[in-house]
Amino acid sequence: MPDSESQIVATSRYELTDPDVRLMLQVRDGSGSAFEELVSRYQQRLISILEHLVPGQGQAEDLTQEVFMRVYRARATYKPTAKFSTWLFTIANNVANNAIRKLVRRKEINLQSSPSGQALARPLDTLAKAASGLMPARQLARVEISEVVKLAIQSLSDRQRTALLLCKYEHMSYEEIGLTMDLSPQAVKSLLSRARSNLRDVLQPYISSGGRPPGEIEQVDMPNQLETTRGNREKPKR
Amino acid sequence: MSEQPHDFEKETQPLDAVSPEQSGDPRDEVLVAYLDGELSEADTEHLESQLASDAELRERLHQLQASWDLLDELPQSQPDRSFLQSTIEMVVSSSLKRPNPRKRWLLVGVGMAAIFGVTLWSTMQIVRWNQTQPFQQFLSSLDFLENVEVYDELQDVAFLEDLHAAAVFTAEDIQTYQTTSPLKDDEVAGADAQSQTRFENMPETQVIQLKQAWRAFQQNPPEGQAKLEKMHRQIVQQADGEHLLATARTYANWLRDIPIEKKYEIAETPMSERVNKVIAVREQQERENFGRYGSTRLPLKDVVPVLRWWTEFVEKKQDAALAKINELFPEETNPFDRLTADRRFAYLLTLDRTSTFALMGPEDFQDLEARVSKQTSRTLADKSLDSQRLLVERWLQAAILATRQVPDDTLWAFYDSLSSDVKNGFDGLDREAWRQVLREKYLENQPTISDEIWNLLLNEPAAKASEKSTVGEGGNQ
Repeated sequence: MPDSESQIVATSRYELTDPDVRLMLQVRDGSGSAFEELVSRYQQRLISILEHLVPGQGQAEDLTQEVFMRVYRARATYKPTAKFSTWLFTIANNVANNAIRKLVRRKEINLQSSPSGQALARPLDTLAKAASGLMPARQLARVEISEVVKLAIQSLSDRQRTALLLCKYEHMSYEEIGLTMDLSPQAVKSLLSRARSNLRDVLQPYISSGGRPPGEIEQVDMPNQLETTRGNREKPKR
Repeated sequence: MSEQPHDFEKETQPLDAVSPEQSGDPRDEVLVAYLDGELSEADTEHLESQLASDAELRERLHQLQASWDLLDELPQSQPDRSFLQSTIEMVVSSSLKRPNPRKRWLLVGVGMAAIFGVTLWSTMQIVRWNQTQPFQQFLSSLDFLENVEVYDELQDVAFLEDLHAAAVFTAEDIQTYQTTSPLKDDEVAGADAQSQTRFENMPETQVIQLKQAWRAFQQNPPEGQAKLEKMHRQIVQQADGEHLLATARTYANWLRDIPIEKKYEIAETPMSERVNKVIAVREQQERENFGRYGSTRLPLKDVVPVLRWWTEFVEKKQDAALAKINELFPEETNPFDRLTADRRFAYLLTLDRTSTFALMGPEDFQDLEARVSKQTSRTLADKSLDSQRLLVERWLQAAILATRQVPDDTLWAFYDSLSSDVKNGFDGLDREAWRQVLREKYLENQPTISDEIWNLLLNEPAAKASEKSTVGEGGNQ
């Protein structure tokens, strides 16, 4: 099938199956209320992802606004060649990467210009310290489990973290994550596997020592129970 | 996806193009794909039959799932109700913001539609916002809003004054951490027309930040708002307000970067003791971060190769380097006149970078890459020429300090032993330079140290000789 023809088929497919694509097409045609609806649908989802990709509480909201700004600017040339969420998170991934690059540049300048400059924050060190009991009890009490999980996510590489968040919170398939991050599905599979292995290694002390009460962690004893465990994406929590 | 079931015992597929230390157990890849519902039916059946008979595999699966479930502990951010409105306003106002003159001409040429006619809705939104009293308040508060987060972090002007007086942050820190230009007098005056122009010409990212700051500020209770505004007035009205603000921004940015437990420690320290606490934290970081530069640390095993390379480099380029240094320093004050040859390399690197480091070319870095460990070599190879120079400069400092590091107690005892005249000479230096010069002064007075280094350099077998290229060996003969 010629490229243009296949694109038309894909376009109409996404237009038919994805209501957000239809909203975006209305934005393209000048509908303000459709844009408002899209912002309303996706703002929280974007913030949730971005706040783990970039440091600083306010930064995620700023970047979310930047993503919407780019969406709005791109409206005139919008073509629905993928699900709307895939397109949106591709933009978000680019925006986050730019922000991280800027931040790293700033830190590099800082650290290279001053021998006394402190190294990049070391969440893994903090985690290891907390897990090893070296952290004073008073502080450990304050670093609650959500903080530990946050640090564990921060300990992953940027790419592992992005793939993991898209899988966990956006329930994206490997193919969709691949489109968003410009990777093959096989590369996504490998990336996610490493991300989750690392996550498991870092969180291991909290799994065994009661990060959650043991009864709350689903036990996997028999294959017939596995259906409840596998396919996280098939049971969206949103 | 393959319809052939996976056999874990025969699983040899490499996990992406990653280094071995990053790769985990290959079984994890299949287990994760299984948990994500990404395995084919055949693979799923095969895996489940293996799970039924393999307790260790089940445990692995359980651990992966349990750590995955822990992610549910993260609180989900809920943007407040004003976020939607603020986003719409920001998007619309940015799409209507004054473009650069070239674009403006183009837009006029193309037609009004491009400026106002996106939608009637868009226009209504921006007109409504721009004409409102809050927008005018926002405009007149730009200077304040640029710093409101900083004030929020500080909470106390007296603390800032102490921090500034104690010169906790060096000029270099301040330069690094400054994210916005210091206030100018006319900006402090804050004429409305100027604010309007400033707003229109601001980069979009700054507009976003200011609007966020505005929104966050408005969510404070009235007394909180008044307190922050009062801090702003107290600071900018001081003769030294600009420098105070620079210190305040540096402190706030530094706080954002330090580990969370340190932040807690500082927050829990009473205001009267806080400056001392900040100093203590910074000193501790200084000690802990010895040898760390950026995301790169020069491993100890690379100290000798780096020093060897440097010695040879200086030898090769000595004439050119000295010529440059002589240009920079009149002959009668040239520090090299007073130095023995074996200390020259230490001084070369403390001089203006342009004098020596500009002489480093790609071939010199390739030479260095061939001598050091693979990890260090990779770090260097990834950088641009300028970054390589910076990095090597830092590595050299780390390498030299590693061989010459002087314990603090010794250093302070040495300082005490100096004459008043010499001590006076130190008084004009900032904190960083003070330590550095004191250390050098100490080393100058320790003739045995340079002998040790030379012994190390001349007698230690080349660390990389057996492992890598012969470039280093050849040069060392």
